[in-house]
Amino acid sequence: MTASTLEFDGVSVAFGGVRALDDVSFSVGEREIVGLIGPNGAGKTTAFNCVSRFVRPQRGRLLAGGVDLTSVAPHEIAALGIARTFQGLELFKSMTVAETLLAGQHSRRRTMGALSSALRLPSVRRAEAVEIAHAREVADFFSIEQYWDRMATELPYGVQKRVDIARALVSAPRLLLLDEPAAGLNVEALAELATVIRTIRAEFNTAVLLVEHHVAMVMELCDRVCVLNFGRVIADGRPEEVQRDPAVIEAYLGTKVTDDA
Amino acid sequence: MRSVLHGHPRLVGLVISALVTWLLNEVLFPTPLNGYLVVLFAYVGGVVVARLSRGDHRYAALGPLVPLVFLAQNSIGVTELTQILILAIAALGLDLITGWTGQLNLAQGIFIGLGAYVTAILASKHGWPILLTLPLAGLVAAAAGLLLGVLALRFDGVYLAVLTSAVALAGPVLLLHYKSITNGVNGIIVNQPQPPGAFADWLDTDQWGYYVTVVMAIIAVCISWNLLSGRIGRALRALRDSPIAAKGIGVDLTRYKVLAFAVGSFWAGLAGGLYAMTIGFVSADSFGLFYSIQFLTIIVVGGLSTISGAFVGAVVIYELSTNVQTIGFATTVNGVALSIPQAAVYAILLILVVIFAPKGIIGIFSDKSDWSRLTQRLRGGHNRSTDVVQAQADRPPIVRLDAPEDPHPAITSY
Amino acid sequence: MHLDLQLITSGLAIGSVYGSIALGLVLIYRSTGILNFAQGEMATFSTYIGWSFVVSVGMPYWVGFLLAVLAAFLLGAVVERVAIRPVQNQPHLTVVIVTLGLFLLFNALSLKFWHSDVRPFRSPFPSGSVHVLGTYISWVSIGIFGVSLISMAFVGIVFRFTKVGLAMRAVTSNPMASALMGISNGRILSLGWGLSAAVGAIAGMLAANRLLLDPNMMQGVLLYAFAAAVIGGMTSPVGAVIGGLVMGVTNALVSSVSWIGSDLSLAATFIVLVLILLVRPQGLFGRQIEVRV
Repeated sequence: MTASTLEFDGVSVAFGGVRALDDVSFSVGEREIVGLIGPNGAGKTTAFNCVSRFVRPQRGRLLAGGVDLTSVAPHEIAALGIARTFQGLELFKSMTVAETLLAGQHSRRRTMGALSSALRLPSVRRAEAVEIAHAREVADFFSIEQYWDRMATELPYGVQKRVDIARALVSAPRLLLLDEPAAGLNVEALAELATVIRTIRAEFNTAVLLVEHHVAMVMELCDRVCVLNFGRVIADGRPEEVQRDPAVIEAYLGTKVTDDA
Repeated sequence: MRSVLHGHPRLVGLVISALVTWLLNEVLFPTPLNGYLVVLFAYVGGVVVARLSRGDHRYAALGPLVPLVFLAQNSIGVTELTQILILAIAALGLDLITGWTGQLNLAQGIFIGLGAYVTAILASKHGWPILLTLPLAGLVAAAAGLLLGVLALRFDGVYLAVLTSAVALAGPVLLLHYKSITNGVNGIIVNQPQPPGAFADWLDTDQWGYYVTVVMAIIAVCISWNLLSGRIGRALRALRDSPIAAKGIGVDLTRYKVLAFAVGSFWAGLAGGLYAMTIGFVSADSFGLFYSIQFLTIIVVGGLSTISGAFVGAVVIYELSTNVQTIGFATTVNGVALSIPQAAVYAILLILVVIFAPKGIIGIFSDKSDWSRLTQRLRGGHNRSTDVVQAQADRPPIVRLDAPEDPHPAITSY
Repeated sequence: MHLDLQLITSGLAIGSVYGSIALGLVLIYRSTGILNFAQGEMATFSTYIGWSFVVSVGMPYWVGFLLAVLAAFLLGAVVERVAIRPVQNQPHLTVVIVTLGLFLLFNALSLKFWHSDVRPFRSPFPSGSVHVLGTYISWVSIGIFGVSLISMAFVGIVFRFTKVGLAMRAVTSNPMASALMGISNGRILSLGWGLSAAVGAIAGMLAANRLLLDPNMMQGVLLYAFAAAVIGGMTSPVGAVIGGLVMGVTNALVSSVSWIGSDLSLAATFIVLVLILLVRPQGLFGRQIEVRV
């Protein structure tokens, strides 16, 4: 395995008495697409939220490019090259698509620059121009530039999903976290999603970690699959290995594997 | 309207609107118009021109300011306009805190009071030139706002409303208590500055105060525009719209919330300095909770999160609170004339505006306006979004991620 | 600061008034998420109605009292229907402006009908005091405390043990589901506003003698009630009542400290409030709300 973009190293999280994550270790390599699956309540979302720093692990380390994420504030994650989407999309309701894609590049400028912004100094204008150009490229890639000046939350759901992914990618991350990208998609869109994610990796040079209920899609798409059950990693490997793993089969037995979830 | 992002105020529109207003004022009407009518004309003119030139209506923010320059020549209405602009500057600051950043602040009045006292004390007791005290008034208020902003980080929604209303209520009490600094209930009298040499021939004291206020208002609008149209404005809206996603894109919620409080209080302090300079008298009980509430009503009635909304709101609220007459009825009961008192008319109008134009007066002019919603409702129609479908038909997306066009899929709700 | 029992009982009495207004605030906040700035002014207005019945018309005190409470109930219900419901789904701030407008409206109406001069309003309770535990407690304090407690208990009983109360709780916890169950949300919300206005009227009538009846009587009270509701966690009726008592006693004790005195007691009391909230931002009785991603 090459140098990992993200590494879970014995991460444990407990809410009250409930162990949400128990000594979880796995990694995402450079430009690798990794799927995180597991039955409901297995701890997938918690693992995600650890990376975003919305949840603080009690034990373990989370390494990204040599930095331990547990000692980093939530808003500094983006600057480390980690961007995410949201299951509930969480689009900014007062923003147009254009503004959303500019907001997505917030972490590109490292300082607040209140004074230079207030005076709109040439440096600010230049930065703005660069960001607008980049936003247009990404909008073009996702075919949302015809909605450029429309309020993001007023668009059809499928377009909103694209805006959400575009907002994450526009910051040129090294790792893209996708939270249930297949949720709410119909069968055809689902088939395309895998293609889109592969194209994203090729085009944007980024690793992808996705949490997904939709097992079939994950198996087809991912280079590697990590299976969680009751907060523990029960399998980690290539899709075909994981599919044959007796522990995985057992975990999913009785729990209905739905295609529409 | 891609111009939003390339952002240059449409000067042509402003100049035309100024000229139209000037014509209306000087040529068509022999007697000078009421100040607020002029401002509204100028604003509408600015909006229409901005529209025609396919610009953004927010550029019209500067519209009301330009024609005012002509107005000072006939002294009528100058003091009125000065006070309106002062209200607007403070409202602009409150909008930054409450409208753009979503932090309900009921204590804006006390920061104006702080600025007013800084100017009054420095000018009256220490003989500073008043113009020099203005930035300091802003900075002192900004420092206090910074403190409140840090405190406000721990609170949200109603809790913040309670905290800030406590500040609004306790502030004047404290100011009255420390008599050695503030003169207590006697207040401080400020000598209004005379226009300096070159201007003294053709400007009186009121007009000089007015021009100083206009310049400050223009500075406030320009700086606000620069801040809000760029990265900082987007960060503030992001953290208001979705704190989670804002963190996700790297917005430091703490710093930006406190920044909004500090800058918003700076404008309040500056407005306070102008208040002391133009009113000539500062007393703590002018800056209580009622005064603070006034600024909240200004930004809501004008239109939240719009720069021009602060100005339109200031005009409307100022006129409502000073010019609304008691509504009398012809009937009498037991010889007593039946009437609705002025404050009640103000309150009822306020409630009606909010009910029928929840996005404020600016909302009536905006794309998805209340106006069109209202007429649609009257016609019994529903919101149609055919243009979305048309836009999609324009060009098929290269990469499709389309879901069924159900805007509220049950699965993704949390 | 000396722990004077007399001071504490007098603080408890006025605290029960704060608690009543806070209870009204919480009832509305729980069901609609609205902070009703007009709560105090509506109470003042109702108190004036009671004053007119008792002093101008010459009715027996308790008849006027009941009529005022009834009038307040109707007033609350009408206000909800006319002013609140049209903006209910608007952003928080819009609704706040409407209640601020109502605040100004009722203040103006009180001023118009009854003018700004202070109206003497005799207390329905005997003027003497009773000797308990080595201190004298006035009957007025006992009366205010007792009647407030009874009215608040009544609200509690309505909430907990009646069908209407059940419906109100259902609307609060899940408006959609309760509408599907056939509960008329609108009517229940009107009822909630009416009930909270009625509790406010009782508080106003009781406080009128001590606070002196004038159009601005309840403004200070409202802020203490805000504080009380916040300390109680905004959604807990019991918490609001206890919060009111805490505010009343704190204020009484703080005022007695010589270097603070009554003119700074308001500021000092709020410093106490802020300190409490800094330690427990969700109030003493509130639960921390977990934000889910």
